[in-house]
Amino acid sequence: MKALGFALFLVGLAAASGYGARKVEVAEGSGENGAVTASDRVSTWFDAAGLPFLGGLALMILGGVVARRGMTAAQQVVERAQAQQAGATPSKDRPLELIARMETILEPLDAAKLPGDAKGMAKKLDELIDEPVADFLELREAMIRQLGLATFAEMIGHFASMERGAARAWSAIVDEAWDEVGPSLERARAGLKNARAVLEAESAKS
Amino acid sequence: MSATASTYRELTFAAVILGVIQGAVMTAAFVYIGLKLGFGLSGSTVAAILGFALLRGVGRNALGIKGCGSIVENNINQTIASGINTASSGVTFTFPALLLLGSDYDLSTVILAALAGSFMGIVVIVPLRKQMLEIERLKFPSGIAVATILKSPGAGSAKAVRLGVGFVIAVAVTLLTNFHVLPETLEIGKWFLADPEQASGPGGIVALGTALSLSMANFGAGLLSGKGGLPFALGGALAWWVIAPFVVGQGWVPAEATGGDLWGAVYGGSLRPVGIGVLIGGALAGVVAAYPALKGAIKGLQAAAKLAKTGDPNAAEELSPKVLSFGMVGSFIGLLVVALLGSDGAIGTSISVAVAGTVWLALAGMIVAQAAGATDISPLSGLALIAVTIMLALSANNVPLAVAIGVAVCVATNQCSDMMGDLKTGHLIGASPRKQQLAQLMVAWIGPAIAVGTVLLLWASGPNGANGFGEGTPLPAPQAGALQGMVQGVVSGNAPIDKYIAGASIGGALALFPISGLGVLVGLAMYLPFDITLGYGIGCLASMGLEKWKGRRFYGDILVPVAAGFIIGEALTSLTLTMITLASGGS
Repeated sequence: MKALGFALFLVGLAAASGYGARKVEVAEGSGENGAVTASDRVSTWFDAAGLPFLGGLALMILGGVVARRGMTAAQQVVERAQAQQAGATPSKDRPLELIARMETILEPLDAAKLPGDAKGMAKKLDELIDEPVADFLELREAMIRQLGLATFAEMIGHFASMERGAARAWSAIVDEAWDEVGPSLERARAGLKNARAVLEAESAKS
Repeated sequence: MSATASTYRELTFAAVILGVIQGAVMTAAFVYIGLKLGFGLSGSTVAAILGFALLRGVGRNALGIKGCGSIVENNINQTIASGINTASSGVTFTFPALLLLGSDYDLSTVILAALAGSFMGIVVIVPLRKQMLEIERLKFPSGIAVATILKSPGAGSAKAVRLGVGFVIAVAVTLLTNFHVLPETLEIGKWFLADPEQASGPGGIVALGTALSLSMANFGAGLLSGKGGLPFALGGALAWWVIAPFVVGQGWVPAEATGGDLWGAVYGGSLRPVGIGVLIGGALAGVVAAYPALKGAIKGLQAAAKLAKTGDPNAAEELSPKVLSFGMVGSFIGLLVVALLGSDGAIGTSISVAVAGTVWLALAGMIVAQAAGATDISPLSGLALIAVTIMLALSANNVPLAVAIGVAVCVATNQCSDMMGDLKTGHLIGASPRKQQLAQLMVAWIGPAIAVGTVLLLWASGPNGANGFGEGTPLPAPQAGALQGMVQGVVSGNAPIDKYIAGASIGGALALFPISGLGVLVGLAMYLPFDITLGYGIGCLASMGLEKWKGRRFYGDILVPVAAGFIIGEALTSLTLTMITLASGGS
């Protein structure tokens, strides 16, 4: 179904674009002294290419709807397969699992240990951004489908606040601005906690 | 200036002053380059590197200012410098057309339009930060490259070496192409043609169109974008391997056109105008699709402003809705005054021009920011042409007024993509978005004033105090010349409105497909020659393949610094070569 949707969409896009690109010459305009107006151009083009163009658009719309349904169905199949697999994390729980991984990196970071542990702390922050954060963001499309755009937007706002806090802590460590590291880490932890709360509230609803 | 008690230097007097000086110098220089060569340059990378040398080297080490030249402070410096410089291409692509057309214009309307556009560009794009950077996660490859420079003191020697390797490769390739040892573009399709100038028919246009740009910055942008940029490359394939041969096969090009003429007829007469339409339709549909998130973002701004009043220093991450509304209303009044002055007080025309100008400006700003965010390429000139077309229609072919609004739109759209790119850089280094927005807003008036002044100065440098640029002079002003030709075309009824409408319908339908931003990416691919999309697409595919083969960590550890090196290397080498060429009087 997904493949059919893709195929219909592509054929429609090619047809609509091809006929949309049709060049037309307007012999005589309806403006003052026979000047060509915008509506002259549009009506001449539509007379020459309008029907196949609209057919292409209709195929695009049909293909888009079919592909959307196909993608949702494919997602459900994956989730069912994961649910049946012993020990595997269902995809809907994967974001919370990744947040837990981020917490295990963030929680032990203690600004009081600076400047002694500066290098180790910067490395941990690098690891946070490069691994669980990147993995979490890979689930973006799936989370939008699962949570809806408005809830996702709320959650990702808190999550982004965590990213900025962690990045600022990293920058402050490099710049040896030790008094900035603690508040930045706090902001990062708060952002992560708030993102977790939104995800848990949604999880409880379903 | 810091909002908290922390000693961490961010929005400081030193960063503002250095940013203003760098921005002012770059604006004047880049106006000259724009008139000479027809392209605009971004100064972010130069400003970031000089910022380290001056803030850290001079401020911290020589003058002993503790903590001077921090990563986030240098980010403010580059935000300000590039923010001021946005006006250079915005003004250079538009305002000189008025001088070339010999129109009777009022200078105050041009300056006011540029100022209104400069402020409005910032205030319309700020509420979209959440949508573009947090929800859509647009890459902004140049933003990543600047963040890589800013982070270089702490990134470790291995990443610095990788950045250096990318830089050296890009410098070498740019030099080799500049001195014609390597071609700028590999015209792959022409290898299969006996006589490219006689090529015709569907097969001929496929061969003529199939080419690969050797720009390392373009390839680097594809590497940074990965899977997300693939629709852009596929859009290029659709344009040049499906639509172009179809158009030629149907006989919709002049029968006698062959070789370069055939390519020009298909690209300029069909693909480019449809591409502009797709960009517009895609952006409009994107706004509709993202409405829940945009509503949430605006609510978030209001909630943060309320929290900030309670004294929570962390609440105000962005400029408050009050400041944004004030900026919006002020800029709209500016455009209205421009319209009133330009139309001799015709109230109906003025209101419709100001409203349409504001709406188009916001939409064009979104398109440019989204296109630059996904691909690092900005369809600025095409959108300026549309702005002038709309304004000519609304003002009954009042050329000075239409071009003045075009100046506003062009400056504003550049501000939008620059602000968003800077905010992406800021996100990666943990900067305060509010401080960046405030910094750019504070200096938004400087760039337009310098750019307009430089254009007038160069115009007056000609014989008898005029005609200092244009065809046949050492400053041919190619972009303004294109706008001049387009204005003449619209006035005589030749604008391809039919293509814009067809393209916009396609862009709207593309939004139905479950890939966000598809309309803008496909539209941009149709708008550009295939060599750019193909080079970028190879970068995307290479990134996907390497990430799959070597794992996720490879992207952050290796690809990002190398690709950033490609972008920085090409930008700095091109800039240096351009300066050398201009200094030696060459063209």
